[in-house]
Amino acid sequence: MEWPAVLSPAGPNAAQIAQLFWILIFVISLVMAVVCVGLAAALFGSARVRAILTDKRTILSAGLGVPALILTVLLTYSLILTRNLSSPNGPDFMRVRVTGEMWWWRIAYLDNNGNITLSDANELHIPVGKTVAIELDSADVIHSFWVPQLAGKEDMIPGRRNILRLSADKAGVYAGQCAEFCGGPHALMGLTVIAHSPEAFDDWQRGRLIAPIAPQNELAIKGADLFLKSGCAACHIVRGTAANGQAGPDLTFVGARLKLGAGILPNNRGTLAGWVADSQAIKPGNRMPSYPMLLPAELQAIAAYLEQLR
Amino acid sequence: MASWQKANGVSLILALLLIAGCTEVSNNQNSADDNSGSYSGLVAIEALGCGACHRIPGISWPQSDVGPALNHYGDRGFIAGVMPNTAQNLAAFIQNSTRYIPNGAMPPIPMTESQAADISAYLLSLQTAGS
Repeated sequence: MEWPAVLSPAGPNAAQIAQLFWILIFVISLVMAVVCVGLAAALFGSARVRAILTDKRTILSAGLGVPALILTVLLTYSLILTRNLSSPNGPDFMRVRVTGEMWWWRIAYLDNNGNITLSDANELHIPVGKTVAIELDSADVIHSFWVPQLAGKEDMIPGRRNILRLSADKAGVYAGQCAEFCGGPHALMGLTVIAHSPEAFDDWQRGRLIAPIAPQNELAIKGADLFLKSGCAACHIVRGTAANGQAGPDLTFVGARLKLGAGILPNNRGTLAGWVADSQAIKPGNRMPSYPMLLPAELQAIAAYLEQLR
Repeated sequence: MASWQKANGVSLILALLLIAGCTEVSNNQNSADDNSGSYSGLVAIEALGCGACHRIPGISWPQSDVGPALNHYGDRGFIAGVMPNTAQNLAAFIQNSTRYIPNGAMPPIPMTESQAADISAYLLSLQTAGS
């Protein structure tokens, strides 16, 4: 799997954080260099230099005054930056609720009244250049929403709703990752954020509001039937069908996702089959059981069905 | 040896152990660097997620046993027991195994011809040392 790129910001929030990082690195390096020179002078310097270094005034100013000054400036800067990050600098274009689940992301796009207009999982779509307010919830334990190219980390805490605002400067795919240890396969709890141009985002949204067309070929039709009969529908919803489970990720458009298993595997008929057959080998401890009892032909059919849900 | 020297030695070992846990994905295969086709094969294997079903040298995750493990694949005589293990046959097989084994579990995998050729070259390069 790919790890998120941490120091290549693609949005204003992440850019400010990256700037803070580089400023801190610069100051830290400078302080380190000065301390090393001071140490060398103390060890190998002449008696006069040592006398200056051990002078009470030197110790008070260089040992207390200068660090206090540097730290105060840095603290003030970072506090102002943090305040700017969390306060809206204009109206939000859209609201999305992302709920951390062990070990995936439930995603709900909301209207202005907070009603859900569209449900999805593990892939967040946003328009470029617009501020998106993300409500961060948790269904179980503490998770942390982190898409480093777009924003800083923000925890998802049970019983509390945090709001994270982010926007992307250019269209692209940005990897995210749960950044708070949440048990077993925490490291395999990835997220994909896709930023579209505003027109492409409208097209995407229109396409998602209708249910996908019914399977067209024989194999996929057989797969749709097996999907219901084999128990998949107990946990997964596919809108427009009898599958209405709520425990696991929404699979209405699973075939259109870039990644599988919560942002971790490439998505194609092969990985779909492998995931269904033995998700426990791929993501040990996740809540979906492996299905080794499926016949090869049944596995083929289910994978073909899932692949065309797009 | 002074105690601080011992402490230094211990911290060094601990630090090295930590570093040992880090792997650069996809290039810890000893035969992968031998020819240029193999590395791009490994890249394609990762991009398509073949590891979802097969254990493949050079792929550290996932480790799945849905399909056969592919270590020493280049030493094999036949592909899935049905045809000679040549580069051309293998490239065709991995794109659509159901043409050769209609009742098999491996679905047709969409990939480009060059991905198929690269993966085939990589798998055939996996040979027991000295053979």
